[in-house]
Amino acid sequence: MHIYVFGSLCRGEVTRESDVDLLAVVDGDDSRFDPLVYSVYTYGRIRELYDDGSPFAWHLARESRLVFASDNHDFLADLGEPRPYTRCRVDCDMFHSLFRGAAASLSDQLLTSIFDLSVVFLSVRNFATCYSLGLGRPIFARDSALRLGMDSLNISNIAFSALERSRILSIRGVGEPIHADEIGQVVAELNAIDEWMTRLSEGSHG
Amino acid sequence: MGELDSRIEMQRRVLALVNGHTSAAERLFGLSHKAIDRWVSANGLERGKPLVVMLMTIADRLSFLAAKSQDHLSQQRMLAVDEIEKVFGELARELSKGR
Repeated sequence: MHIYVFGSLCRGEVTRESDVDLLAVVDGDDSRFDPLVYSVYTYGRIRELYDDGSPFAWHLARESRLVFASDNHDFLADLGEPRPYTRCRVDCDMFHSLFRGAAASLSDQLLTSIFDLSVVFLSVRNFATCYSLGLGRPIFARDSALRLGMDSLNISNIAFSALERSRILSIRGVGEPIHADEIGQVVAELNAIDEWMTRLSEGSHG
Repeated sequence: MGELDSRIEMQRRVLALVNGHTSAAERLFGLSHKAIDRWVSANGLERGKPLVVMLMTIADRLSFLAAKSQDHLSQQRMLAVDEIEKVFGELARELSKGR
């Protein structure tokens, strides 16, 4: 059994809304680990992800810290680096499609608006991470879309904050509700987000 | 539709169903356990209420599907999808009773 912490804590990004991302690497099913608390993977599955060069593998390779090793070896460190990431365009297109679905839903009805904003945030963040990984300079931070230099997403701070808070509300159930005018600010930026994704996709690598 | 898309769309269907049928003080913002807990607390609901139990069941099955997202053809995965659809139907009937 190996236990790791990864994600924002390893970047030193701590807020009151932060959670702790924990990875448990185990042999087969292990009921000791609550899947709501841990990301649980078998050793074989982790090796597959590393062989696949997946963004998650790269995330672990770059931002994880060993907490416990039953064999006193750092399993992830011993794997070395994952294989090169080759699905940048495919993954960016997938997240672009996810974004368009959420944008369409936001335009159609308001019953799921916070959830749709959270999906927009998920899409934007993961699109930016995949794009940066494709460039060989991965950024796994929550605000990855704002850290791409000249390729950064350019939307209002109010809109980005509403997206981020919606994600936290939808997943962790904490935070202040998003007001109608904030939702309106995001809706006003949907075309800009779509154009940003289109532009970056056309220049993406892999 | 990809696997992630399918899970997102199912969550959207459930949220639209719940938020369209209940006149709650605060809407349901997501189908994570914590989002459901917030909704239950914000609206003074009982955790044992059938509606809440059904939502938690769907949340559990969706979490399972997320964890098994690479196992496209697994029997367990297909059973989880079937269960979600079944509970969704029960949820729709429950909400239509106005409970």
